[in-house]
Amino acid sequence: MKLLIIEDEPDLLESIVRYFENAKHICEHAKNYIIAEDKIAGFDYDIIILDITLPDGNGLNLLPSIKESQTDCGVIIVSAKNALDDKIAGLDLGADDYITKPFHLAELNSRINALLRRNQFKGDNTLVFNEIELNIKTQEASINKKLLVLTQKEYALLLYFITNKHRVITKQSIAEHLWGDYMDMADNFDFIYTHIRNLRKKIHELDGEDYLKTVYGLGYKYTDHN
Amino acid sequence: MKLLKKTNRYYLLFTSIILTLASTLLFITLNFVSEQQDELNLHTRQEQVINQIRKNGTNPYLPPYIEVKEIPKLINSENRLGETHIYNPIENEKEEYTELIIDKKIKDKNYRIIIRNSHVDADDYVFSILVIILILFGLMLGGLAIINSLISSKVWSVFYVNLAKIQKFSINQKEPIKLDDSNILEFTELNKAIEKLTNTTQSEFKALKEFTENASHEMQTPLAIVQLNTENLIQDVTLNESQSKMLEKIGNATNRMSSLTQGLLLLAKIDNQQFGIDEQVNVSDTVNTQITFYNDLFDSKKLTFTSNIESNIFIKGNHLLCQILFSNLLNNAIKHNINKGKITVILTPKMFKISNTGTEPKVKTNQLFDRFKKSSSLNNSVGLGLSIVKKISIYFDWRISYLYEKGEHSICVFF
Repeated sequence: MKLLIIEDEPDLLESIVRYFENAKHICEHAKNYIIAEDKIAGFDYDIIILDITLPDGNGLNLLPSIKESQTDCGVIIVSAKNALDDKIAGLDLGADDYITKPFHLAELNSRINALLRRNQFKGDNTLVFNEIELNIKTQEASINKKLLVLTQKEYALLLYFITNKHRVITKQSIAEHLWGDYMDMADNFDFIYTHIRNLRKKIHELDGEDYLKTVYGLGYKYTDHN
Repeated sequence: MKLLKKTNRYYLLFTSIILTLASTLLFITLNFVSEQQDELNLHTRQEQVINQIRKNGTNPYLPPYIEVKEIPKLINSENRLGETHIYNPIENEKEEYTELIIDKKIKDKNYRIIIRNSHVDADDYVFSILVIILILFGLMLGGLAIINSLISSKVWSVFYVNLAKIQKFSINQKEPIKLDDSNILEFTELNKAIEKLTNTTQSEFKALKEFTENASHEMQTPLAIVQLNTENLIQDVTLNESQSKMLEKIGNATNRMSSLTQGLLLLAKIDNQQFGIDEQVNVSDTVNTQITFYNDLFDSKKLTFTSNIESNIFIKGNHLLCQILFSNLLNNAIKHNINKGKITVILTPKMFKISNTGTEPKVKTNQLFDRFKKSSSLNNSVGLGLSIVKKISIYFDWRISYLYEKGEHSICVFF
């Protein structure tokens, strides 16, 4: 996948680039409005990550030209939290999704993948991880073709894990992914145990392998590596 | 007391004293002059009578005004001035007279000459003059008081208009204060001073708010950097347990900091009136949605949740702020609850009430809604939650109250 990351803060940019390059994606970047404009006009991208607070212009103003010169490109805008106006303006101008600072890379990754699936497969494809198959359109999971009956949260959890496979995901990012903004005030994320435990149990019942590894106090890793 | 009354009082007191003194003085002077005239008159007439007796030898007899009697012996040859009452048959009453009596020898005869003058006229004059003066003074006083009132209320009306404007002034309001002009120097000076004071305070306050907002805003980026780098760091498979623990602590602390700056930013935005309050919010739906989100948290602490939520309650406000308000209250009720405790939520068109079991608060009740005052020793709570609730309540003009009774905390929001 070819990504364009428009971000003026170098440290942020580096973290994002490093993450996605690790996942074997092609990353290009622009640190201000002018460079961004240039790149958008000249090249094609699958996904554009756009921070709207750029030093030399409002990132939102790039959206019309993105819509014009890019085909099937998903745009995620990065804004400050509770900046409702920015969010609405961005979505109105053609952005596909938004994420607020500070964010988890796992969350960003999850959103980008969802966008890609929508744009390139029109939401009709399957995500496969070994014997587990997730049908994106029907939101159904199966192990070795046998239907895995999951609740909405359990499905979302499994999708999140598979999308972010082989990486340590923190409990907080899981909580925020499933329960949204309300969770930034919770001081304790142990309540996610229940859902994780139930998911594990259901997979076990269908003789599926448990790829979910607990990583000390940090979080979980969904992987088949050892 | 009002300024008007006070100044009037002094005026009236002063004027009354002066007028009393003046009237008394006038009375005394008039009387004195009158008596002097009287005496002079008596002496003159006495002279005339003596001359007449000497020339013509006649004894004038015009009682009670002139009485001349022959007397055998001179008893008192000095002038004697006195007062006497004589009955006047015409007027049918006793009248007062001044009399001048002298015993004198004229041409070998001894005479007692009595000259009298009636007071009545003079007294009447003095009395009339005094009455007129008193009426005049009375009118003056009365007029002074009335004119004072009329003019003053006209003059002070500008003051009262401006006073009302000052009372309504809030440092947070967008427009600067605009006071009515007056052609009275003191009021103009006061106006200028107040306008300068309020303008300065308003701009300083605005600068402070902007600073808070900018600071909070700026903090998002370094926080994001810490978070992202930490997230990348934890991917390292060679981390040992103690390193992982440290990273976990860093992660938690970063979360708290993030919560904190978000909260401060929110408070600053509400202060800045950056949220509209014209939306019709379905409060029933909002509350129910929040409860659904928090269901898992209820379970994790094994809390029993009961509710009585009337449906379709609409209130004028702001969607986002309402969400935040109820979310914070629920979060608070869960956080400060005991294991296997309970939470009760009631929603009526008039109010929202949430009660939860919990330990007694360590902080004074009225301080509970202040920033960073935590009622229990839970270290992870950031302490902004309730002050955000309070600020949103104030913004919507809702009353909020807190009660701790029988092991239960209750917070009530009245719409």
